[in-house]
Amino acid sequence: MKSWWSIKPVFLVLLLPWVLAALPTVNVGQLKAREFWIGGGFIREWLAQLFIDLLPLMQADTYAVFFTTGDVVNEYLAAVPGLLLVTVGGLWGLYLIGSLFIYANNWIVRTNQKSIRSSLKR
Amino acid sequence: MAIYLFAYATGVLLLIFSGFYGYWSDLSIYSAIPAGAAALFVGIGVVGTRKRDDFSDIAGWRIEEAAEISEPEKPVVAPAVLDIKSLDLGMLVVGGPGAGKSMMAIAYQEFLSQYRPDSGMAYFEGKGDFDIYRDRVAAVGHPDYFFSSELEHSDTINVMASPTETIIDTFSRVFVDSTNGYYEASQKKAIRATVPLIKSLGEPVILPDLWMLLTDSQAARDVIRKAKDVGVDPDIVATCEQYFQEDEEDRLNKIDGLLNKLHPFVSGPISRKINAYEPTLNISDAVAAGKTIYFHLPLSDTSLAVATMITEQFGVVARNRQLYELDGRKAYPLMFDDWGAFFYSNFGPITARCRSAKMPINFFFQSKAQTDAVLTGGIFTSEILDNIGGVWSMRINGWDTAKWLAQQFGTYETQEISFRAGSDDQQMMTVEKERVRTDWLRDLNAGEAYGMIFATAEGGLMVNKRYQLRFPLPGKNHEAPTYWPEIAAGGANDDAGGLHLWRDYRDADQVTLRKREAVKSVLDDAGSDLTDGDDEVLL
Repeated sequence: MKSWWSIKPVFLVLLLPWVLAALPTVNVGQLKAREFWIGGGFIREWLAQLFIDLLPLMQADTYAVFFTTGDVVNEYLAAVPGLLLVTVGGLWGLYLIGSLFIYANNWIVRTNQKSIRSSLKR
Repeated sequence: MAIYLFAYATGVLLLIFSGFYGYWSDLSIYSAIPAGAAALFVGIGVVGTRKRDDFSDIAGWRIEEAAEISEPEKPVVAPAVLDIKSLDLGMLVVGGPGAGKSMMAIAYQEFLSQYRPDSGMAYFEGKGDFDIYRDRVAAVGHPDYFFSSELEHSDTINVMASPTETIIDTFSRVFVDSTNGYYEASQKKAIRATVPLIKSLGEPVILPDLWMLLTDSQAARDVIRKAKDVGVDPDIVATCEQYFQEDEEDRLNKIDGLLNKLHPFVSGPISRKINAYEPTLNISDAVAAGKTIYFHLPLSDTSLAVATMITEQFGVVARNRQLYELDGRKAYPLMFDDWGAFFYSNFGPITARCRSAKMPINFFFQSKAQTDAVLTGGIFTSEILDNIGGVWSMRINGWDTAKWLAQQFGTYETQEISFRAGSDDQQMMTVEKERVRTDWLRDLNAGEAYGMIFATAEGGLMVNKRYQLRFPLPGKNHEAPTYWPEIAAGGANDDAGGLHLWRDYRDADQVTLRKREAVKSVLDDAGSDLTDGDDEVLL
């Protein structure tokens, strides 16, 4: 029988956005004298955009200035509100998937036990 | 449950988010939205994850050393609260000698005296040991009344202070010799013909009055005449008259068995205690006033008869409470300790009545055989079990009783997995096990018990909780007595108002003297010259 406790490692997935957002941004194309940036910067930017949309116009400007002029740490700090929202969304997505998984798994076990019980009682 | 934990976590995350949002939005009005959402989710989480035990607010007797064994494989070791609503339905406690029944009974009385100080109770003690009285007084205090069938000092009662029909039923059960059907019928007829008459005179009546009425024809004639004078129902008078028209010698022969059984209660040592015109203990009044009564009735033929008469009086009290005490009925528990041998055929209906009248019956006995022996077709045991709120099994010595009690706790279903040696094959089996095994009931320490009792909650919720627990020892809240109580003697019967057939007719010379005085008085009034020899004509 499965329970949330037995599948507790899946909750680690909620840390993924936090880890990804903390990754440095590097130019992997410089070896070929090109620009090809990958890393957490894009995620931080997306998260910041997510948060900006929720702020009033004036305050959104202040926030944008802070994000664009700050260093990596400031970027990460500015991304935290977005990370929190993503985590909440991920939490409920996990709840949905986890519930379905537990229900389906336990239904199979229960049905199996029931059939064993009924065969033993006969 | 999981969804509430998710809601709780969401609330916490949103709370942090709202802090950031408030900071970046300069605490604009929109900051309230995430904060509100956070509060909502946290609220849902807190309410949902709060341990919801509908039975956590039960009021009752708290037992510190307890484990709930409703699911024997997952015992919950925690103090138990025995629901007062179930305790008010009565309990059945079975335990061998030394198992701790009497101590449990005293501890229960201690709880009741503290939980409901204004309510009384009656303790029927069938062993008669001083130790029990001492411990009871030390825990609960001196009882308001103390009645003993054996000790010199005792409160007094009047066993005829009951309704006529109750007395007829009781006396027919207690005093009639039923070894011969013919004589049995005659004896019952005697009771049925005489008791209604003396009870109708409107004066206190005692058992010796009945004896005198049955054995003294002069007393019978006088009482019948008196009954006519005070306007007693002619049917009652006629029935009695008809009875006494039988040949006296023949009549007395037929009721010889009745008189033999009555005799110890009319003139024996117990007589003074149970035949008081002005008893110091009126059971009905004591119950109404919430007094505590200690009945010291060590088992004997005499105490058996007295106990039956007392029990019948409690039946009358219960009936009156049912019929006339409609509001604010206070509980009046009755505890029958070591009472197994005192059960009799009418005990069942009386206990049912008592229970209904909020006079819960609590039985403490040693063996199932004691209730099985009651002559009601072997159903008394089931009747008790069906009507009480809790059953407790203390240490049991006998296998049959232990087995019977273990069965009361029922079974539960569990799964067992077996492995086949040398392979990975496993097999799961569903097995039904006894919740309490017979052996366990024979291995309990003093005061320990297995038991089950109903727990009730709001909205009609009810569950039968099973416990293994250890009842507390009675406290030492009062000074322990060193001897039995000294009870002040009540008023002498000769000085009290009553029918007084015993006083007036037991001495033949006194009767003759009174006859003469009566005749003289009549002669004086009439101015006649009749002589003493005509007494009988006038009387």
